[in-house]
Amino acid sequence: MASRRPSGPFDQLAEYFADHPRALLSLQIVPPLVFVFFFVFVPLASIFAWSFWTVENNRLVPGFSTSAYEEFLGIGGLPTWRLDIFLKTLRIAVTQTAIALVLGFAIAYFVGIKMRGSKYALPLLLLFAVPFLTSYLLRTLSWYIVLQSRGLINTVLQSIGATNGPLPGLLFSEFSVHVGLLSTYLPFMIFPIWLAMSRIDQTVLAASADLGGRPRDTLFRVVVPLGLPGILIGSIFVFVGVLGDSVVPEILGGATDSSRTLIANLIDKAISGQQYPMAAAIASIILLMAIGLIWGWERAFGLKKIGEI
Amino acid sequence: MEEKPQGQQAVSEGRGVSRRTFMKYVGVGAVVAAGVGVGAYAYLNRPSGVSAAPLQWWGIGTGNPERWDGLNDAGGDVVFTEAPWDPVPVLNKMKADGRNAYDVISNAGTLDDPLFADGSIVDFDPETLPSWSKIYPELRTNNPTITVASTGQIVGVPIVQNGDSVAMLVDELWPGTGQPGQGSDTYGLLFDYLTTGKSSMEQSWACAIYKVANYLGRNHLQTIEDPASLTTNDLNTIKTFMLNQKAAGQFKVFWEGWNTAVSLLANKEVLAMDTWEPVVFALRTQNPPINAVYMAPKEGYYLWNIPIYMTPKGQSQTKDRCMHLSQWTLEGWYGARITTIRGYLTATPDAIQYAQDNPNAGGGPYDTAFIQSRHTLVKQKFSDGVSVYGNQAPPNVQDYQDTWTQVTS
Amino acid sequence: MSSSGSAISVRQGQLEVFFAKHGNLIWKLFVGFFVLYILMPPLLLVAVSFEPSGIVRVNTGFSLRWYDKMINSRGLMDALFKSILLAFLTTAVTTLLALQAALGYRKARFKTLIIAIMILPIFLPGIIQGFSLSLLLTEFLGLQRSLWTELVGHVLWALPFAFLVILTSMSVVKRETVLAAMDLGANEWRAFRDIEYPIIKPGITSAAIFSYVLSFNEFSRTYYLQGIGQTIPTYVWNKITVAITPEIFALSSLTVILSLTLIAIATIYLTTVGRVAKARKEKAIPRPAVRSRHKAPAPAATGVAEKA
Repeated sequence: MASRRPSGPFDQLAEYFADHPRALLSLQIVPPLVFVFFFVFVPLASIFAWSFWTVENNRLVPGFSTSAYEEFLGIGGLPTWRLDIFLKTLRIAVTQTAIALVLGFAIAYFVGIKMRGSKYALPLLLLFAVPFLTSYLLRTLSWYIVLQSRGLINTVLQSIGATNGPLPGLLFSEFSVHVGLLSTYLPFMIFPIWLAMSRIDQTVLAASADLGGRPRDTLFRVVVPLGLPGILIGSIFVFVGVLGDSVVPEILGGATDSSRTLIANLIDKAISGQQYPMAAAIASIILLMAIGLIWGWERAFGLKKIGEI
Repeated sequence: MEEKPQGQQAVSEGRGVSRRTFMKYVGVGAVVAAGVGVGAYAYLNRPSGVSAAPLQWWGIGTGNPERWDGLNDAGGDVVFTEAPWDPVPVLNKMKADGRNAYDVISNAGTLDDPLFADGSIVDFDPETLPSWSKIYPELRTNNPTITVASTGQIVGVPIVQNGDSVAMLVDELWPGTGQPGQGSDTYGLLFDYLTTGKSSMEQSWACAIYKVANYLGRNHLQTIEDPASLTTNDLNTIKTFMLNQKAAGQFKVFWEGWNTAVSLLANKEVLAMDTWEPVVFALRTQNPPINAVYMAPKEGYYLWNIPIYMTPKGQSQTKDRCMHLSQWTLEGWYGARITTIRGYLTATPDAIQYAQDNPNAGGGPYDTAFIQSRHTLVKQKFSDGVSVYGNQAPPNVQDYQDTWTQVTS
Repeated sequence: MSSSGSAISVRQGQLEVFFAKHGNLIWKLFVGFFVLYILMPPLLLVAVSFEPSGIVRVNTGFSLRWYDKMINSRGLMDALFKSILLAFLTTAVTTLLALQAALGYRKARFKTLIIAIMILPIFLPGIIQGFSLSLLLTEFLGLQRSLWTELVGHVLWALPFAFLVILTSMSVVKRETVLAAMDLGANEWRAFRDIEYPIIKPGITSAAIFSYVLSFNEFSRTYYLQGIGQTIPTYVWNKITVAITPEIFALSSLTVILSLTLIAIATIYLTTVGRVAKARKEKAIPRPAVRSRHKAPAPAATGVAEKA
């Protein structure tokens, strides 16, 4: 057989690596890992360390002091307002994740399963990506037009006679914060779940129907378990996203129900006020939560599942 | 024997370029062209030596004239980058890379002491500027914002100044008269039943906290020794007061940023707000005009001043151009321009004469009467005996920050 | 089956019939509503960009003055170019790293650990990442903040997403296919290029698009890692707190209009290509099974198998 021996440079490289598979492995996997390790782990370890240091003359000085944590958690009779904000943020994050999960799952289900094979599926998903090309700040600001006293909702409601005056609490309240957050994080939930669903083989769904399952059964006993990795990833995206969001509460949050300062704003203020140990302490606590989440995920489902999405 | 598979035959013979291939080439071509374009732009705009580089001015946006008429800068042009008001980020950035990146800076005036102590700004003998003697005496002598307290050196050139108070929507608060009525001369309006649920204060402590301090102190509602310099007790008093007001639903929102401020008032979401005077001008020039009035509070205005300072980089590399720029801000066109677009006072009376001689100059038209009235009005704020400068860098700035964060949370 | 005598089960029956008949419509309305909900902010931005007063409110008129101001705004244009440049760099670096990581991951043994490391950045709020990295680089390594520090932040942000997307698209490639190719004499590089790459190309493209979009709009990390030149998000942040600048609404609106147009074009193209593909089938015009640049014929595999 007249075999063409391809002998371009990549092919020669490939011949070398065929004999030294581990070299290739390290070359492939090591750079990304090193990158992430150095630029993620080292700074994170530093944050843990800094949370115990002190600030003198506007510089971080090594030492050991738990005063930042005490001040944050309100231990020992100190005011607990920061802790209150932290708990409030957690509450809002969990609520938001739940809302995004229900809605996002439904939408992903529709696009990934019911609309399978339709050529409109991809453009539809691309539409979800459009907001991300615009400034987050401006996008959030634009909700004023819909929610304010003379905004779209109030104008429409009043013109059809449903209400007499502007609805209180549409804007500058926890409600508007949720509205703003959802518009940003819903696509983050939709996309991973859709990805997971599109991997579900059509034959599996057909088999489930053949075996007498109603759509509801197929949904809960086939689609949900198979789509679980996507559900988990989406939930993490949303939850962590809300924890780190400082823009939406500042613009859409209100004074009376104290929805304008969440934990991310506190970190911001601490950093700009040079209270580095405080910022580091808050960050460390969030980090511990994140590590706990990853660990819990591994125990419950196994992280490898992500690779099999 | 090698046969060409049929598929390849079909593609490579006779059918020409398929549409898919064409679209692919177009797509790839567009991406490559974009990349090349961006690369070229970046390359052409790389900094290439001191003389060709534009002058870097980092300052609060209110000092930005957005045009540079009459600057005639021999070396190149000026790049203005917006700086934040918050004192600590400003000090940090200047200590880190700002001092080697910017030639001149213009920040909140009371930062001159810490900036000078850090070595982020230098004494460039501004008194030697030709127009120095023309600066209004109120702004030139005994001005803490350009004088280093410990040594008495003058390290800045005052370019923009004003006294802040509260913007009020007259037609909503006192309907029927078209004029401000009862309560329109005190900061108490913000805490009054007239504005319950429709009052707003700034979320940043720098300007807002002093108004509360002045209100409580000067009306003897609480014991506040010196509103310009608050102790821990004072801060606690303010905090308790504000938290009570907030819990009672007095404030609708704590605003941040120009667009928000103007939008809140223009959409009548709030009726009284502590903010900057240009907001009122912007409202009055709406179509139809909104009857907004800036308060003249009996407790005194919050005075501020933005001077130009020179950095070590400016002193060593571009000193002449920086001096030229500083001089230019003291001259007629800059003054006329700033006062016209923002209503602020600039340092010398040249602006009035300039507007009279050149009413249709670039960036105008310039109304001499308006500029004159602004000069008179604002100068008066600086010498009314009640108004004081707000201190941006008090020794217990952390406490200020924590107090206000708690209040606005 | 219970004989229906009660009104309730009749109602239930009616409800089920209703949903069965209109189920699809209800689904479509539901999804349509949320598509609109998500698209509301960008569309509103387009509306505000035409508002003559520049105030964020329901339009009182129509004006193009902010577009004019945008074109003449040097700061804005500089920030735009820098954002584009940074996004290009991020895309290049991230896609490459993610591809390598995904390829290596499949062969590696400590899969769990690798995944944990690679996705860790997702869990961290941007402020924390940006601030810690910035402090580390400037205070303790003495580096200056610059384009390269920003690039690091952006790649860190985009890498987990790109990695996950590419990994997902690789899950379709059956191991047996690759092994078969290697049995037939292809070395690893050829197996990748001729077999895997065409299949995962959509995944790589998605990862690239993801990286670009994520980088273009990244704010919190950029804020702490930025040197002198600003990107669009930080430019907007700086301007919006102290000045009235509706020209940034104009810029955002242009981006929205541009991307919506591109999507419309893509949709039309996809649907017409679909039709052309169907027409081809009907006319039985053969299409190449594997598009390989070399003349090495794809059916050679079957040819060899026949011979063997």
